[in-house]
Amino acid sequence: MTGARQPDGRWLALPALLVLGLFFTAFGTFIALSLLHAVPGTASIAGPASLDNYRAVAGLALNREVTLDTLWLALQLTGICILVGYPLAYLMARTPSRTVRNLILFVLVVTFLSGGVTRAYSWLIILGNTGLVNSLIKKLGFAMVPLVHNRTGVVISLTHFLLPFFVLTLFGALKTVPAMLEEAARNLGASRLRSFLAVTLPLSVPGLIAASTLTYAVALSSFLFPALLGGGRNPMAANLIYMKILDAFDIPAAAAMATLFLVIALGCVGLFALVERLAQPRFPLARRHG
Amino acid sequence: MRDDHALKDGPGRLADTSRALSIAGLTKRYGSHRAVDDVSFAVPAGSLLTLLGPSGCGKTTILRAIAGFVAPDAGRIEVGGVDITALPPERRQTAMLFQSYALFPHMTVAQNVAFGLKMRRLGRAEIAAKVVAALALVRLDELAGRYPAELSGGQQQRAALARALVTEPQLLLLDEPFGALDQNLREAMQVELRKLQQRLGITTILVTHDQQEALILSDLIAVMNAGRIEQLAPPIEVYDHPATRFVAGFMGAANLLTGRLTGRHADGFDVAVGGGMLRLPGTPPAGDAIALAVRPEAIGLDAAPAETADADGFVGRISFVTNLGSRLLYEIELADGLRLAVEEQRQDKTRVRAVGERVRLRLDPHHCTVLRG
Repeated sequence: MTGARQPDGRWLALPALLVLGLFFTAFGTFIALSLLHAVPGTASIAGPASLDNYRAVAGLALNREVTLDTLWLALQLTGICILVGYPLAYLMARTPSRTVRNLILFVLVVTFLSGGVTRAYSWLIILGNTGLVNSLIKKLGFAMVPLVHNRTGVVISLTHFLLPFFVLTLFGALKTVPAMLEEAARNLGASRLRSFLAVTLPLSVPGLIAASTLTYAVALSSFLFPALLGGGRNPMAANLIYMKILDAFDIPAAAAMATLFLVIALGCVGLFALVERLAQPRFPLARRHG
Repeated sequence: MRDDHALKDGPGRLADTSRALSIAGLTKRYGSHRAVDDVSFAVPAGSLLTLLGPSGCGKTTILRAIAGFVAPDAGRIEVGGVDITALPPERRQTAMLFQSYALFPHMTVAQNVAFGLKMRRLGRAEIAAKVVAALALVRLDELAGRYPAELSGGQQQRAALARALVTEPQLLLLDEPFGALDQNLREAMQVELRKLQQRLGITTILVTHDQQEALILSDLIAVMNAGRIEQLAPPIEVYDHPATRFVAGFMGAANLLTGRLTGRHADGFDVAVGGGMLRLPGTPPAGDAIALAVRPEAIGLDAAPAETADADGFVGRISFVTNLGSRLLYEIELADGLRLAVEEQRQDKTRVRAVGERVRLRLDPHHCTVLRG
């Protein structure tokens, strides 16, 4: 008799299943919609179900270009986040000064919490042709550098948007790598750099990949910053889907585009998971001594 | 005798002065707090000195300063007459055994041991030979391919020790190395480490708060309190003749008595204490109040005849008895209310005294230590 009074464990999964069910119903509706047609000149949507929308979406060169470009830009942004964010996360995890750590944490969290639209317009003010950066450049006697309504503005603002996701995730992982291991390495004759490369870096790989995956996934779904700082000339996948709805009013086509992009994006995130499995520590997890 | 020639045939091993440590005027402040306050000491080559004291006494800060992880505010650290105070950790020939071993979890035992040799850019074959010898030295040859998490606590410690010793350091630094081991293993490892240290003749600094451990392992003990050394002496000296009240208390279970100086003689002085009178050798410290430490095992017990008056001194009643098997611990309350601990060896025929029995204490003046400061 295994615990006659114990509640059946399967029932505990019910709330989670309900939530998941709700999500999948939304996705289901969405995918069903993508198989129908918009009736031209009206707001109504009609059958019969077909894959015509997918054919049309995949057939358009612009769609293919923007999709590839979005995947590539997200990868570049993840790369920039690694370069900028790793030192920041490392500093946060290793600094003996509580003030330094709290200051970085505060800046990141404020960035996290401040609204996207506010931040996008702030960037327009800072990076604009008569903005802070360019007036400084002009004062120094150089020619004005266009920083908004182009790719540069998109990259700067998105890096700022993505950095907290990356840094906070990696910080959590770096904290679990004992600083004492670096001391041990230095005690054994390794320079500061070598002890980092030989000990801390390899031990932080799982955290690095987790942070990169999250950053990449969030970057793929960027909408606001490319819309506001890209000047309409640098659409990402989400912007294209939005245009499909707003300009063409073709909801089924937009749904097909979104579904297709979702599948491709999942595939790319899946690649990260594969890398993570390959880089997964082959060594057994450390256990507490005692 | 195990094969440890590979560790021994480095140039100029054993008891040469290039491995002596000397520290002068070492000071480290954190804010206004002096963690280490003008500490000086010297350790002869091949000796093991223990920095013994409660947590926060500065012992770990000194060890970390020797390793180069703490930059002192003042003072010099010399190894073999060479000033290493300004060198970064990786350029010092010190090997530290960390409290939780700090083995690299992503490397096997052999890779861990090889790490320091790789950093010194030794040849592949030489590294392999030294790793094998070092693992044999700590009896871990069988487990070279295991990862640290697959080892027991004692094995992890031996791996960390092999990693430290394989680089043939000038100094071995041990930071509470036995704290994470259980009691039986700890004692075995302490003896093993001491034998190894003596065999290799490596100058060693041990940090611990465990006086037992200090007694087992040390050539010299520096008892520390509040950033300063209270006494630096061989273990027996520290144990038998603690210099200060703090040392007497920290070295464990000594009876601390306060008496009054009543007279001086050519060969000693008289102290009134515990209702009796003691004639002690030597010269008294300044002041009338004399602090004494007496070890429980240095006090003898006699049955007090019925006619002895309490006023005759050193007469009291047994107020508690603890039987530890090989030893008996008596708590004795003297007439003036003072309580003393007395320890007797116990054998099969030894009579255990009962609570309430009147006894007379025999205090040997040579085992009474006068505390200064």
